[in-house]
Amino acid sequence: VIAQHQIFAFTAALLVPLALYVLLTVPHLLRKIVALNVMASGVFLLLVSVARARAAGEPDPVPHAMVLTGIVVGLSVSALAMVLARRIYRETGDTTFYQAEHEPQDEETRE
Amino acid sequence: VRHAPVLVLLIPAAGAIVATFLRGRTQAWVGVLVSVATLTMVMRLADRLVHDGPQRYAMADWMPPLGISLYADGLALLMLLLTALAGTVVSVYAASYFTDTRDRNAPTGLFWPLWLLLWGGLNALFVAGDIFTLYLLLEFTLVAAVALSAVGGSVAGQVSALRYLLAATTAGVFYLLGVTLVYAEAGTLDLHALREMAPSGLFPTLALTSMTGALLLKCALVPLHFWLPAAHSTAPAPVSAILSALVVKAGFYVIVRLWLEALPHAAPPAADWAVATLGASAVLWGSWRALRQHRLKMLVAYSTVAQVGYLFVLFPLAAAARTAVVEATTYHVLSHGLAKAAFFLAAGAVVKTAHSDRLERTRGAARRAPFAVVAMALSGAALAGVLPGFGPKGKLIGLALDHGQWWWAGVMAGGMALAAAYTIAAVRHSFEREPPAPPDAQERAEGAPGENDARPPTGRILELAALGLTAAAFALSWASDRVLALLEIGWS
Repeated sequence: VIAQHQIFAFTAALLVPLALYVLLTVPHLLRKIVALNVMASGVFLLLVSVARARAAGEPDPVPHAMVLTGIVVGLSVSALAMVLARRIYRETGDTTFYQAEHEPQDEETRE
Repeated sequence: VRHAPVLVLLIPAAGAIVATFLRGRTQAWVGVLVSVATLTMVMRLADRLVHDGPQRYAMADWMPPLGISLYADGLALLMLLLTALAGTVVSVYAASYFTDTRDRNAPTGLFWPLWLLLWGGLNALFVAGDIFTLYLLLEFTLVAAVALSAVGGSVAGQVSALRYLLAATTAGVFYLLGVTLVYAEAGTLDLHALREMAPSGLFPTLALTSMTGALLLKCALVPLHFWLPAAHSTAPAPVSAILSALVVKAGFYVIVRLWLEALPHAAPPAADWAVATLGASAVLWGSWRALRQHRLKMLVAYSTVAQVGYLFVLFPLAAAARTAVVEATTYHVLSHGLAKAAFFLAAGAVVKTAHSDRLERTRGAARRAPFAVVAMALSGAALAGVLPGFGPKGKLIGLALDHGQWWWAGVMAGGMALAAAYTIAAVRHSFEREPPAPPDAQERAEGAPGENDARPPTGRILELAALGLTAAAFALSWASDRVLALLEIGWS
């Protein structure tokens, strides 16, 4: 019989590489941000699985505290990433890195 | 001052909150004041460490694992001191750099809250006692650093900031994966508990590999440096100095804690050689790229890619000569921190007088900003090892030769020569005569009589700040033995 935490660990082992693949290959900035969140969720799932696997009776609370804190980190990073992506879109009309980077650059710096 | 370990991070954090509600000159004054207060508190902590040895501090008296414990030893202290010294000078520089903008709502008003938050985060990272708190602070400093690198407001700045954020957060997920594996194996996150257990086997090895890869990206070791040159060169000069001199060192600091303290027996075979080979390629490739740049700040940014390489070159010796390697490498961290901050600050002053970042447009800078050009030349010389006893590079090369690994010494000597070459490339145009102004510019100059000659466009504060940090880099070499003796506190 497969235990619940083994299913979690197996899912995590699938999610992380899949999300990393999308993160590296898909050019759309918003999809990159979503992929990053999926990848982080994969690791959170592994943490939850560890919390169960380590303790025979009640689950270990420390990994749960780590997951909660990790979710807050993920939220802050996603918020900042989306603000930057929106500003790039508004100023260049592009949703990827490429056009924004290959635009002819100003001769002068803006300082 | 029992609370000194926590005050060194609370003072800048509180300052950041206050600065959020201020603008303009008041904000700059508060920023400088908080910087001086932080520097003072770091000095008090130093005093306490020297007299009473390493300090352990449980936040709000909650014990681990659910409470957070701080730990300050000699290595942490040297990082705190570097950040406080370079940080205070950068604050003085920034107060002058940003306040001449007329626009009260300019995005640069965000500089002070973000910079003080980043400083608090770095200080917290240096005294953090467990690997999960280190994860949080790596992400915390990353968010502050990314937002800082975008305060200039240019599109190029936003693009490089987002690239930096996505790359480094991906690395952060891999770091957290490593933390998970360590916890699954050892059941503790505490650095010292881990050190006593010295876990080894499949999980710790996978964990260390995953975390090291993540941290190598954060400190931009070749080939994971792709995000750095753009992010560091498009930011305003004080931000570039902070990012290049201090933030990349945070990643390296965590690597030292993991490799030499928490997980000393978990490194996969030949990993130290792999890392050292990457370091050696960074020294050569980064220096070569720096030499080929046409933009001043891009040149300085590639110099950082090269200088990060030196930190890893002696990893194969760490098993045989742990203390000596840590000493020489820390010396390089400190020396590069001061010299690179000085280099970027000086470059910022030159760019401001030239109104351009292109090297060939900096003609005549030696006349308009003489101290900045001198600071740039001398801090570049410091990076090339022109210091008493050849500075940290002399120590690193000596160690490599002592252990018969002359090839590393050869690479580092080559890197020193290239550093001298790119420093010359950086200042060469400053000494050339200015080209005659094009006719329309001449008319404009006549329309506003005296504007061209009389302006010291930035005041001398910018130049003197850069010169002061250069002097600090040289002073460090004179007193290196006494400064590095601090490492022995709590480091056995």
